[in-house]
Amino acid sequence: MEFKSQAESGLQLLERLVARPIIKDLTPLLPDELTSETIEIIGDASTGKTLFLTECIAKCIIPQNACGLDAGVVYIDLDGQFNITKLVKIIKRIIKNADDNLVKACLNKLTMINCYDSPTLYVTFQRLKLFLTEQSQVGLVILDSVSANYWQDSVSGGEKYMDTYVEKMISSLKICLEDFKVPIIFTRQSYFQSKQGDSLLDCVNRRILFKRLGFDFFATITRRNVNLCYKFNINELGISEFNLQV
Amino acid sequence: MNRPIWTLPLSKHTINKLDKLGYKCCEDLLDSLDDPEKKSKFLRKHMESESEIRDMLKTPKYKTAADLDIERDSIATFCKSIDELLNGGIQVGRITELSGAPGSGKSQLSMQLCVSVQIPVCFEGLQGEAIYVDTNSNFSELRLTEMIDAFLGHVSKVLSGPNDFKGAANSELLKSLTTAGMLSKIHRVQMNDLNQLHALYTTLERHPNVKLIVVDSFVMPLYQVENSLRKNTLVHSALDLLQTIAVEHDLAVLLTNDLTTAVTESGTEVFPALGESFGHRVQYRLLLSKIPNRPNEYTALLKKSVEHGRSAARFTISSDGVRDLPIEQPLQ
Amino acid sequence: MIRLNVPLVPDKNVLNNLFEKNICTVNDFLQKKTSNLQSVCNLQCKEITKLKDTMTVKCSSPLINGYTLYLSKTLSTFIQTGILKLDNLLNGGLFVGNIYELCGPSACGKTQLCISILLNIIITTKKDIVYIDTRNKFSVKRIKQVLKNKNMTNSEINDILKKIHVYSVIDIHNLITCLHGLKEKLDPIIIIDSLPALYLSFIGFYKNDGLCYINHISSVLKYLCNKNATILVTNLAVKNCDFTNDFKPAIGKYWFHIPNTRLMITTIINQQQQMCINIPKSVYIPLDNKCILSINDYGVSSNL
Repeated sequence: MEFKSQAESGLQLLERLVARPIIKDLTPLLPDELTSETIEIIGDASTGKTLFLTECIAKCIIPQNACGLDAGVVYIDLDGQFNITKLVKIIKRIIKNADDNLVKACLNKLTMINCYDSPTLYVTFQRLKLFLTEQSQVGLVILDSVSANYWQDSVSGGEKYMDTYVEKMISSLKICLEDFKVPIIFTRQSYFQSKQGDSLLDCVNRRILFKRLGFDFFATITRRNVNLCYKFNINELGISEFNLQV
Repeated sequence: MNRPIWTLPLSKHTINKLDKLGYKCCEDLLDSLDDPEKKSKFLRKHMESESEIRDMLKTPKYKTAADLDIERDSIATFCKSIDELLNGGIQVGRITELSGAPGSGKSQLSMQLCVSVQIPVCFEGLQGEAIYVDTNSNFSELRLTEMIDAFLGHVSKVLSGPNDFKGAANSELLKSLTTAGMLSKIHRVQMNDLNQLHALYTTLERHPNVKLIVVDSFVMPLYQVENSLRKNTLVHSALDLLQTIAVEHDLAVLLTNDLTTAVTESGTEVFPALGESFGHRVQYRLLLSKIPNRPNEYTALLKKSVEHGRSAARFTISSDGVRDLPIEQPLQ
Repeated sequence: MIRLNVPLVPDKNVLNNLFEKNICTVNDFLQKKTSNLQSVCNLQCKEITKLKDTMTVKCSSPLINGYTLYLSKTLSTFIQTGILKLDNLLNGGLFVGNIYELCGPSACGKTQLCISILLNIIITTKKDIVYIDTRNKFSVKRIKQVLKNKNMTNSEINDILKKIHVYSVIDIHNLITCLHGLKEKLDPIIIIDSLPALYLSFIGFYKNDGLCYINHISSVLKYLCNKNATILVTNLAVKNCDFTNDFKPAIGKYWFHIPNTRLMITTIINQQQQMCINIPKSVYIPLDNKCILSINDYGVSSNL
């Protein structure tokens, strides 16, 4: 399914020129500015993908005076793995003695979308375009995970080739969001690849590969053929420090 | 959330046609079926499946566990310890698996059950018939005759005894019990392919009083199938079919299975063949084995059951059939 | 509803024109260029844009404010299984809105554990529980046995039995209908015993033919969870084909990441009436903790 971009009205033009928060220093894995980028997160089940995303959301929605980015986030949850109480725990870890009002202010910047089938998802992408036009504080869009409805779609004539399936979905999301220059982060399961290659998909700027060996977790960031590997731990409180591996 | 139309068990053809008309989800379809105008406009040509579709979409009704609290019929053997192990015998509506090495008594117990399923109602039996699906030529009319004769001998002994039991008025019926008559109520079906199990439907139409289906052996026809995926499909379609028949006709299904050896870290271990996924789908699993160094003594180990923990029974096979061990023998 | 209809397209004649041009669904409509639609509908550019916008808003998934979501989740927390060691392992109990999977080899006690959890929940919360039985295995006899051993009277037992709503399901289509039928139920607790029994006959047919159904079932389960359902699914563990003989869940890689928490059950060899539970997958529970439970006349319990 492809949605052509439409001619925009002067009002829309004006609204999208309003300054949006810039996503920078989101996590030690993504230290620089991410404007207009698409980041792919790939990994097996229980390698920390959803938890990592939860940490990213926390960083975004926390106010600037508490080391946050003060940016709104749209989280499209196709997998149902996201846990809001976990997010609140992380916020309370980052801001010591956060009171209810502060938590409320943070959470108000998060917009959750639960979607259960692809036709609705594509309409929802269109909806985002309207939503972001209205909401200038939204700085990041997350999609977890891209493969959730692949098998359902394949019955009704969907794309069979997995990589192409991912590219089609991400590019339709990108078309809807391109005016706003917000970064997109999406996840996919590591089995969900047509071929296990090192090269990135055309629509992806960076890839983070999550792995788990025993109790150690690893994240490898690939960008323009440069790989960096970090080791991290997961405990009750969330993800604790990233250490660069040489 | 909507339900897509392809999740209905309709033909691909019908699904495609509805799809072309823009019907992707059941809610839209129902909406048009309920609206006479839309119905005549868009669905005129598909009316033949209307009641079918409505049936498919009908929300199933639940039963509370209290509604389900009914005693199930079971088929008793002639061996008390096995009956006790199984809470009265093998249950109708369910699948029981007998696994064991060759000569562990699987076919003997199967044939015994074909006789005991015929026990008249006045003796608290099911007074049913049996289908014996024979895939390995273990079926023996001669052996069955022996068992039936032993049964009839037992009946006449009980009848001539002093016990006055509630079915005495039925003695007419008891007189009509003959070896030939009972033998004719065991319907042997020969098969070498599990796909042929569909034929059971016709056999059941002809003999509606069947209360037991034995498949001896379930695993034999599968040895010739080399492709493991194909084998899997065969096993589970056969189980789908047998489970459906068991529920619809309220009858017991008995399958026999072989043992297989698997190499593990701790050496070799013996398991019932056909793997975990087969074991998952039977409700009761009995492992039969011959006790070494003891002539004519066997054990039945209950490996799987919702109602009881694992326990074992001992039995013997005499010319009469499957029986308890003589009492004077001390247990272990 | 995805098909175009009268409230979405206000004019009947316009709707008919669209159908004639094979523009039947909302997605068909939104994908077409506004200029093309203008001639088909005989409407002005502005009107088409407006139609598209209302359709988009009406037919997309709802956008939920994070704080509203948080408030709806804090009211309901978790349901205790009543098995002390298991509750400890699970950090308190079964969290509402989560899918739990009980995975283990055949005859390891999955159904037994389901029955015990079910009874404990009814006894403490007095709530109805939906039990979807796919193998015709549900045993009232066993339940009564467990309850009698807890010294319950017949009328107490009967009250409990009435709270168990059993759906007997014979095929995968049936299961889907059943789950869709539960969408209106308030905060349901659902036990599905077992999912693979309906799926196993698909394996090997056409390469991935049953997966689309598993995919759809997962979607419905997630939908139910989002409406505060608590779901327990049993899954079979099969042996790996290699020499390790390790167990893995029977419904392939796709299903692997669907449950929020997976409880892996193994039988303890030589002690037939015990089971060992560990957690190989969870979003919030420290992984690889263990507990040992016993199965006896009182059901599954912590007492060894």
